[in-house]
Amino acid sequence: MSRQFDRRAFLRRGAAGAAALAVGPGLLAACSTDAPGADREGAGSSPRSGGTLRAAFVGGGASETLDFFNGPSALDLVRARAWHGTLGNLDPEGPDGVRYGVLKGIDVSDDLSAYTLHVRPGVRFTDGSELTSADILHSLSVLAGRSTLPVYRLAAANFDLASAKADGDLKVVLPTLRPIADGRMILCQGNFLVVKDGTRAFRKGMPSCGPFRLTEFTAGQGSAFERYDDHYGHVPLLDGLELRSIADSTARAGALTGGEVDFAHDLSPVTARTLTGDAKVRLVPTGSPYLVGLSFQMNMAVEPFDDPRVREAFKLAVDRETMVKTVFYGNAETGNDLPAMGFPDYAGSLPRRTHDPERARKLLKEAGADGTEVRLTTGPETPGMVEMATLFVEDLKKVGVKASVRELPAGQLYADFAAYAALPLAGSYQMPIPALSTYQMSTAGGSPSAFGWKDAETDALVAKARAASDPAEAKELGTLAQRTRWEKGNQVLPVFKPNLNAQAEGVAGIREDLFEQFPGFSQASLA
Amino acid sequence: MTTALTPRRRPGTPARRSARRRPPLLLGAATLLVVLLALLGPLVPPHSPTAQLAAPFQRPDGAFPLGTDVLGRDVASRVLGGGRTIVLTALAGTAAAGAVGMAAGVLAAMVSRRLGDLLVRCVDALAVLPPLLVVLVLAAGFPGSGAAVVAAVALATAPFSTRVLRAAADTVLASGYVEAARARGDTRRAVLRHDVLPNIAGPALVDTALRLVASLHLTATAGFLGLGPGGAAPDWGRMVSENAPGATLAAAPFLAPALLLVLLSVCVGLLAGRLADTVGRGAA
Repeated sequence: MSRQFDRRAFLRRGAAGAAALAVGPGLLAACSTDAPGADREGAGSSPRSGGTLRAAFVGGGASETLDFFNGPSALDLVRARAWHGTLGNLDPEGPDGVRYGVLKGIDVSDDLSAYTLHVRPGVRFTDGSELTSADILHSLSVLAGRSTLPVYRLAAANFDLASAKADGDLKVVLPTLRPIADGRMILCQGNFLVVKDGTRAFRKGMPSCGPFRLTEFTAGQGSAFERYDDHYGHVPLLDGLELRSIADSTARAGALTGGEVDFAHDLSPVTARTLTGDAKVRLVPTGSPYLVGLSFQMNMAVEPFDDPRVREAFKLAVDRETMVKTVFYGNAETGNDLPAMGFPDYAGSLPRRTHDPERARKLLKEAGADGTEVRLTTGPETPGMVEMATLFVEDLKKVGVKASVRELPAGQLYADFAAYAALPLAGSYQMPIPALSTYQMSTAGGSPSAFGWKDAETDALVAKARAASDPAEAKELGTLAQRTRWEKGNQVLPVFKPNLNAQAEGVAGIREDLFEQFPGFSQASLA
Repeated sequence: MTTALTPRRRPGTPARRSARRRPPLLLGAATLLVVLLALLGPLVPPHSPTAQLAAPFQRPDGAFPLGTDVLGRDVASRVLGGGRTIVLTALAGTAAAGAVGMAAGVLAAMVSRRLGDLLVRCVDALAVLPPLLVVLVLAAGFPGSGAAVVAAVALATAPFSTRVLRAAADTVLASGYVEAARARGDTRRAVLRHDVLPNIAGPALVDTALRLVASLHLTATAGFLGLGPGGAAPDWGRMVSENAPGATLAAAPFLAPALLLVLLSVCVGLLAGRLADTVGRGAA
């Protein structure tokens, strides 16, 4: 049904767009007559400007709104990124590990008690007014402070958002709740977008300062944008942008191969595999650190997981390589039982745990847990999750555990969170966010989502690592804390999977916009 | 279902009629074969149906006669193992629906007209719900439970059986010999036992057979949607949905279970049709 709606919306938009964009039909023709395999990204060839890029996402259905502070789906954030200016994005090559957007920079006070955000002068909203500290303050402390989404809660857990103050037009002072040195990483994750001071409702035509201006939005169907010529920093190459909702992975891939869209977001591994032979289409999986961790949580409050030997045995039993090869056709990375791979505070120096069923069997025997019965509960919350659980159970059977899978229907795994947190063995996935701040928010202090993990020593170590202003010291302390988690922790994290995106051959510049799992199109160009 | 109640005598050539009267040997054999495959298949799999053995979507070869599926499991073993749940669930659901429909239908016919109407209206309220919705709601309420799927299949098909069997019982109750039996002083129970039940047995059988087709469809759909005892357990319906996205990479993992489902439901459907013809002719 949604497919039908999509088509109708597309036709309507197409009819309106044909008059407005004379370049449209020409562009389509250019796409279809391209010699397949022609390398349009060779050195020296400058990207073409103009044209409308059409991208397909899952979307959030008819209940979608433009309020990205409370919009849970990936499309909500992608739409907002095209429309609004950002504080900054994580950038491993950037001076502070970030690339600033509407900010010029962030200073940290010596005692790590306050962060000063310097506004980039000359950023203009679409209504002609200049962006000031009041706009940032409103977006941060009023709108983000009220949000219930984890990424904004992360900010509220680290900064005293309510006490943030403007210091003149171009400075915002943001006090921390406890000394932290990694605050830039939290504020510049790409999620913090800025709207005008006083904004309560989000609607088409409201002032914005992002690379594009919203011209059309229909919940559950899609949205259309045109270039904002006064965008700070650089003006987008594209004339326009269309973001469409296509819920089914195969249908998104079909729209791409059929030339209806130029970019398809988050395909299922099998769908992505079917595209590998198509010369007109290129797979562009997201790179590190924008990888989703797929994990299994062992509940330390129940037998047999109260025994560290059993936990280690489960970690050794999993055949990571096979999971990567079988479920993701090699399009994923093996994990080391720790989240946040690729982030600066990830403990990358720890030894990599290998597949050792012999030792796993021995450990289980020592713990008196061979032949133990375990049921793994999971659900299809993200592509690959159920398949991973199926393979994990087979691995467990091989080391003598009587394991089985219970698969819940989509959307039910986390529906009753108290019941979820009481499961003995549960499937889970980790969004890419920094390691230590995430640990403090969701694992420290015996939080329900920690599945019985309670370790004051590690908690203290993490707090100390985050408060260390010397990066080397911070790294050392952080690695020490993660080592304990790696050795005795209750999380098996065998695989990090990318978002398997695909684009038409010749589309370029999407990766350059950083924050790849929610692609931005401000530097994108068409073939 | 109308066939069962109002036997039609089709004006056909004698040759065709005799062909139709011949016992459907080929059809019966095909049905028996698929059902046996489904029921006994889990006993003779060449490999474990759940173990990951090779690369996904491998082409058929000596070791894997139907290739491997989306997770590199042996398709042949999964095909052999995946029919039992479907056949047993559909049979159990149909049996439950048949029993409920029989009891409610006969009861509605035996009690007073008004009470009977009331009963049928109540059952109608159930019939209004789309069968798939009933299955989805029950399966969501009891995740992973096979009994939930059986109950859902029974709930979805019982209302129609009730109506059909009430009508059949009504016809019998209005007949001369029942009036005579009553006039003779036979008790209700005696009438039920000696007149009603033997006479509606044929229509009941035909009705149940036709419901079995619907039950098979519904059970396969439940498997396709990942309801019922899920996880790694093989299931033809589930195999279709698991392997459909990779149909361009390897067709066998998706086609084999799909064709078996088609074969099973077509054979059972045709057999039920033949049964209806035969019973209808016998009753007339």
